[in-house]
Amino acid sequence: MDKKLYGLMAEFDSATELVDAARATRDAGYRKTDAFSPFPIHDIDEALGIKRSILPVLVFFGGITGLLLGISLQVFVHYIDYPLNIGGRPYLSWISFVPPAYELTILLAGFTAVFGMLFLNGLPRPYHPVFNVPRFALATREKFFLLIESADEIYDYDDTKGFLEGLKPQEVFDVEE
Amino acid sequence: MAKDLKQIHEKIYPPMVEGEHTLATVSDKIGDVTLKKKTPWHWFVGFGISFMVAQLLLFSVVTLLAKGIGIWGNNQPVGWAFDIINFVWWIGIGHAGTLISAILLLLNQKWRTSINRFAEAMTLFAVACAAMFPLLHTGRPWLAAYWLFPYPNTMGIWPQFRSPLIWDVFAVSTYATISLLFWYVGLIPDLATLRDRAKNKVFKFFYAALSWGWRGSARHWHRYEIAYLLLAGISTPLVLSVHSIVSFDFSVSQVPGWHATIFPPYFVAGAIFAGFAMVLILCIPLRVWYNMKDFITDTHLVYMGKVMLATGLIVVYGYAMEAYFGWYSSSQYEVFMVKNRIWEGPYWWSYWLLIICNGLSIQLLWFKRFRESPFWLFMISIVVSIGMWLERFVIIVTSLNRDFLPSSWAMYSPTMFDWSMFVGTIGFFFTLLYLFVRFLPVISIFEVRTLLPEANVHGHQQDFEENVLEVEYTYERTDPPNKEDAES
Amino acid sequence: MAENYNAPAELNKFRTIALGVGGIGLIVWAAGTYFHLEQGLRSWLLGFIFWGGITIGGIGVTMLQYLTGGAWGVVIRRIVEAASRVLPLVFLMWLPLAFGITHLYEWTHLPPDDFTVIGRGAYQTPMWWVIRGLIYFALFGVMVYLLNTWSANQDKSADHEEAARWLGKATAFSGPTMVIYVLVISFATVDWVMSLDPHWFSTIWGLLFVVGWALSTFCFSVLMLAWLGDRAPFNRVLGKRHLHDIGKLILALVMVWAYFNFSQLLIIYSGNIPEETGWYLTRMTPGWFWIGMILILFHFAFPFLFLLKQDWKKNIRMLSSIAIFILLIRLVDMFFLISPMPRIAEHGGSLVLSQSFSWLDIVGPIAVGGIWLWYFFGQLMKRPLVPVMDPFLEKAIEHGQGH
Repeated sequence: MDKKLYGLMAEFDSATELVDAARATRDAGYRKTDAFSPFPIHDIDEALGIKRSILPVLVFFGGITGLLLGISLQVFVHYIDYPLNIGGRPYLSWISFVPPAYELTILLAGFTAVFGMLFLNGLPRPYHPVFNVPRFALATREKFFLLIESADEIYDYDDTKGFLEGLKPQEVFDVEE
Repeated sequence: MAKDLKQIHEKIYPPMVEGEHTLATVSDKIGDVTLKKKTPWHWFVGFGISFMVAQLLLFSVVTLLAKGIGIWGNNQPVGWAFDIINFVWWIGIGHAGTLISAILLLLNQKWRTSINRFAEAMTLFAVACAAMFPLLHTGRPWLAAYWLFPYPNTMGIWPQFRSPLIWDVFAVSTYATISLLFWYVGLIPDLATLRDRAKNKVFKFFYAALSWGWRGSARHWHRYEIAYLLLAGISTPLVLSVHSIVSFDFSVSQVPGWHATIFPPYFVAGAIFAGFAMVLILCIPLRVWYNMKDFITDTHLVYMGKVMLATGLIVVYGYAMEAYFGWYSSSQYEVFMVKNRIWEGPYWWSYWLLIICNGLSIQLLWFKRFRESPFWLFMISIVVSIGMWLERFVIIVTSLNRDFLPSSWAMYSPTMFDWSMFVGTIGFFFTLLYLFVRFLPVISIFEVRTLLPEANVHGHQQDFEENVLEVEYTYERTDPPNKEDAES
Repeated sequence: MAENYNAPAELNKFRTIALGVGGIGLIVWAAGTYFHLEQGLRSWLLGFIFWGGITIGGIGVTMLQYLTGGAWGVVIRRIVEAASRVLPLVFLMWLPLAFGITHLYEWTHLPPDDFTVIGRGAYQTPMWWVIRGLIYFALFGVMVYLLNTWSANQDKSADHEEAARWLGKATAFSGPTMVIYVLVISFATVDWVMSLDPHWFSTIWGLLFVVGWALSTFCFSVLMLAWLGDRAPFNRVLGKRHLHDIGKLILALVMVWAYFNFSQLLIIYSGNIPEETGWYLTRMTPGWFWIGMILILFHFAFPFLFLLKQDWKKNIRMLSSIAIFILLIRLVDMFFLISPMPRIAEHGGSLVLSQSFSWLDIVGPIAVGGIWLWYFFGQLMKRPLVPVMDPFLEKAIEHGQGH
């Protein structure tokens, strides 16, 4: 029985209770934890010890890639591969090259933001053990859930269950693998 | 004292969700529009009409491909007419969506929360309509790939990057892509809500597939907010650049009346102006039909009216500066253009109609009586939409029909196909909107949740805009917090 | 409400220093101008446009913060109001330009068959230039007077309800007045700066100044916040989030400045028609070209990248460093607009950078600036540093304390 469990999950009624419980869980030494809520909760990041995401850095480099791509594409086309005199303008009319390079910067930065976020989040992922808890459907509506994974170092079925019940949740569920 | 202050605050900034709502009722009310079994009769009527009108588009496009663009009224010297007018008109309408979702987010304006979703949808559909016109103007769109996109082809030629039309290709395709991503990212948590609430198997599968297994994990939310902030940050310069580049289509040329340095900001303001008019046209009936007045309150309408007034005034400033500098320049071409456009030319009436629609009608918005009446807002919005269409007509037709060589002057008049194609895109636009209203949540459910009294932690409201703006600061310590900190 | 928000008395010291610097600058400027009248007036114009721009920008920012609301507005309101009250002095500073008009503007020497003389008629005559100038100042004066009177009345309100009424009045006034304000700037800057080159025009011109002056005003306000925020009573008010908000506004204005200027460049460059393109041809000759590059790099790229970082926007030391940097580069921008313009002494020709730049271009802005600051500090000390009765004051202070 123990082996098959993915972890234990507690249901709470309000965001405040969830944040307090998350804080207590972290103080108790649990690290492989997660919280689920119907809207983003600012205070939970600090309570659970979620590190600042690397995403902004990725997006910055995504944008730089787009910029360089835009510049090199236009320089290649109009200066190296096929120089063509248009209206007497110089082959390297950099002022005219700004708009496409700018748009490519934004395009690649945007791609990085969205696909980077999805990638770091491990999405799409249609199946996840937490969906095995029937009440979990309410996590996208009005209820708040706290999960302690069985992979946590100090996880022990009885202790952890007792600990979670001590946090005064609505209910504690076993999450099957 | 404190209570007295609170009353003053609420008088000046009314709350953005009216009525007694909880997390559950918000989810149900907005979700039920799509999940409830019975589709209202007016949906079928509206969708039916839109779909029929959209057939005009199909008819026009097929005829165009068969016969060529000679079926349009374009001639020499008016080589650009309805195609570019409609393109600019549609793409302008799209801008309000991005403005609401990105710029108002960065400005921490809470009233964006309940209108951003369908405004973004409107953006996508408007851009889809817009993109059709330049593509079809090529006459043979299947060849347009190598004219427009830089890829090594067998002819060894490349697009011309000094041309604003190529800038347009980059700007519009980037805009369409980023808007789609922004909209979709915003939808993911709401699709998960619908997935978990859907009873019908087919619907459940549909939403489950689209929501990509979103489960509301705190770690996911954290990255989600960062991605949202970054998208807003890059969409803001994007939306400014798109209509600026559209304005470059005209202004980098040498045609008097087109070649004006004020074009970029003035076009951007005009785009937002037209876009807000369209948002108002859509949301005033929507909130009545779907009983959403609690979320799209009268205050929302007032704010949109104010934005319309402000952007409209910038547009009028543009007209004033064009006329003033036309005269000030003392250049014979500029002076002729001003005279020709305003009173001497054959299209003088279109200019004055434009001034009435865009310049005079919005002056009513200075008055509370009009600003606070949905009826008047709706009427003004319709007039403004017509006015913004006329603006492009005036800019394009009056500048071209009398160019530098009097012997080639000619009048322009649209043909039946010009009209049928334009009207057809309107039908197409509303068809897509009706489908959107039926199958996807029209208001961002999870964002509205953050405005509710329930969404606070120890008195700290989990306001979406504010949290997104502060998201980089969510975590400053890597050690577990100690007890004293947790208490405070 | 018994809290005392009066400005620290230390400001008196700065007043004296400013007056001293300004006075000496004025004497040196006058001496230099005696020998080289056209250059002297041009340098004065540079100082006038830069410092007068902070006053005129102050009017705009005062109205802007009423219209948008928000905590940052409550915090900087008294600073920008004080800047706007320097208007009488700015008017006096305009007088040398009006009296020296025939030595400053080339159009006063154009032959009668010049197309602009024919086209513009009486509009381009010294008399109408002066009359228009008086009208601009009268309109600005009405704005300054009303906004400041209502703000003072708000301080004297018996309760918050009355204060809210004054706030409402100022807000209602700011909407339509903003339109007039932008129009006045557009016409005034055509007269004062653009007409230095009578044959050139650009329709975006007015907006370049609306944005540039707002940017100057915000940067100047940040410097004042940095100084005041270190001391009582303002240290009770200023919070990190105020700085963050203002930092974002500065970032936005830097971007808009670049956007407007790039649009103008791209449109004129691509059009390449003789009516306009000379303006950039002059500025693309060696020397001027490098000033242009400096502007791209340091009026846009560097502040832009700097201000992207949230930590730096929230840190008063970093924010005030970039603010003073932007103010200096604003001066370079104004120099880039004004100095290459055609000169009377050259019969309408422009000078290359090495000949064009004069030591008076440094003395002029210092002279104007010293006197301007002296007057400004005096105005700042006249009123409490925050609108004490404003119904949003407490909320605004609280907002600043977050993260």
